[in-house]
Amino acid sequence: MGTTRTRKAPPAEVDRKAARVAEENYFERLTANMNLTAGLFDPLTNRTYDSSPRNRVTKAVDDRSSEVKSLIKRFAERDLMRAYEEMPKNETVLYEIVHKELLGRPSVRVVVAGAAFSPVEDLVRSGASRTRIPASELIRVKDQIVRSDHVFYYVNAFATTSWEEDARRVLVGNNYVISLSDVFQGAWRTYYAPDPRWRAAARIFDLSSEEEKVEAVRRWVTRHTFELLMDELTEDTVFDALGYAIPIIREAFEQIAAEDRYVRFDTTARPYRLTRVYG
Amino acid sequence: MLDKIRKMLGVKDLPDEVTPLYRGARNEREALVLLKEARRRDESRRRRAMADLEELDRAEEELLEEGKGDITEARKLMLARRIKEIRWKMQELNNRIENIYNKRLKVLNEHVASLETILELTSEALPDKKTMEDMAIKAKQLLEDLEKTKELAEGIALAPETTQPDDEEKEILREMERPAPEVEPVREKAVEKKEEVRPVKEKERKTEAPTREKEPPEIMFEE
Repeated sequence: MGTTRTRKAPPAEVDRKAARVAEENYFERLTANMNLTAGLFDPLTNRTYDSSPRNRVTKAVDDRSSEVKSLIKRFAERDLMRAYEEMPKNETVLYEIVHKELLGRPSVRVVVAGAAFSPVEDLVRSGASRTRIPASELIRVKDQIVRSDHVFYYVNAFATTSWEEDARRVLVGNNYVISLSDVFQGAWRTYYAPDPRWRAAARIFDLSSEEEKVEAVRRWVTRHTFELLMDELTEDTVFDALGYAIPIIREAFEQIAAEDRYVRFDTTARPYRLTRVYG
Repeated sequence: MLDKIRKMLGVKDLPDEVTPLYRGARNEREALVLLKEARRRDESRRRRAMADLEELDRAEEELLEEGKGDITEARKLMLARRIKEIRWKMQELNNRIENIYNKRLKVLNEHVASLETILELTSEALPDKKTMEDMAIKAKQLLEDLEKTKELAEGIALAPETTQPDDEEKEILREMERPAPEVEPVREKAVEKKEEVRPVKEKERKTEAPTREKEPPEIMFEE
């Protein structure tokens, strides 16, 4: 039987400061994850390379911040400097994993890239925006990152608002895979293009801890009483919404059911779900 | 325990809602605690169900609003199905509130109130024998006092009636009894008044007669 679920949560409005803070948080988390990574697999050579700091070159690509400046000049009427300080910069950070063979020069084998996206024009003009980032913008930035055919690129694109549906269709190429991240109702979530080449590299773009994820699931459930009442609060629904692994969702479900006497964790049929009970 | 409660409340049968609670209690006080606990739980469930109803109602309203907009027929049909599902749920919840919680809460409230009253009455301890005797003596004394007071009150009320008039008063009374000199016309008037009730013709005849006697004769004989 087909579902009659009809509603999709509208994107939350993000203002300049919130976007800026989200962007900074994103790069902090990405850097932290990168520092924990010991090696990276290169699908082009089928080899795993040492990604410790001595084999890693970090580059901040500032190309797009000039776009922000020009938009401010064009649309902002006063306090241009203040507006620029408040604005997210749409930065891109590249971590180049360099490898040196016994003979020959060191060369870049794998690149891990993180790029932030914000609807800059809206933020400059009105100070806030709900606009999702489209695939076209992602492709444009991807082309700035993916420059060599001999290097494999793991790319994460972070949107301070959220992503348009079409963005999911441009995530895989010969020498790159892209994941999409955003913050949804306070929860960091990442969508990975289904691709076997991800391997352990996917962990780099997993931007929240397990505790944060469990907490995010709990918050999500609290905000979705309607789905609970309609017996639609399944682990799949939460997975679709937040993208977290099923065991984490189950863990959160168990915790919720243990604390709330009106909620039961139903594991009699798959997908597991939370249901309303009145005792 | 069930029999005891039945006797205390003066009822033949106990409702199913409270029977297990009474059965699980060791005394009336414990039964009251259990009843109150059950009531609290049901009130909480009822509140939860009401909140859920509101949530469903809100969702239904949103979908109805969306359905009023300019959308495709397929979308409208989908919304209608969804609304139907929501209404089923609401109906289910309403039935639950009406048939389970409201009904049970009514019974529980009644029993809590009854048990509270009974326990309040039985909680006052009886005084010991000595105190009761003292109280009985005191009550008897009070009754006697009351009787005396009553008699005294009656005595005060009768005294003026039995008091004999003194000489001066007797004289005044005699004066009062002595007939007044203007008694005659008063009597005539009284007679007249009595006669007024007679038929008019007779009255006229009677009144005419004496006037004729008093009038001088029409023919006067000269000596």
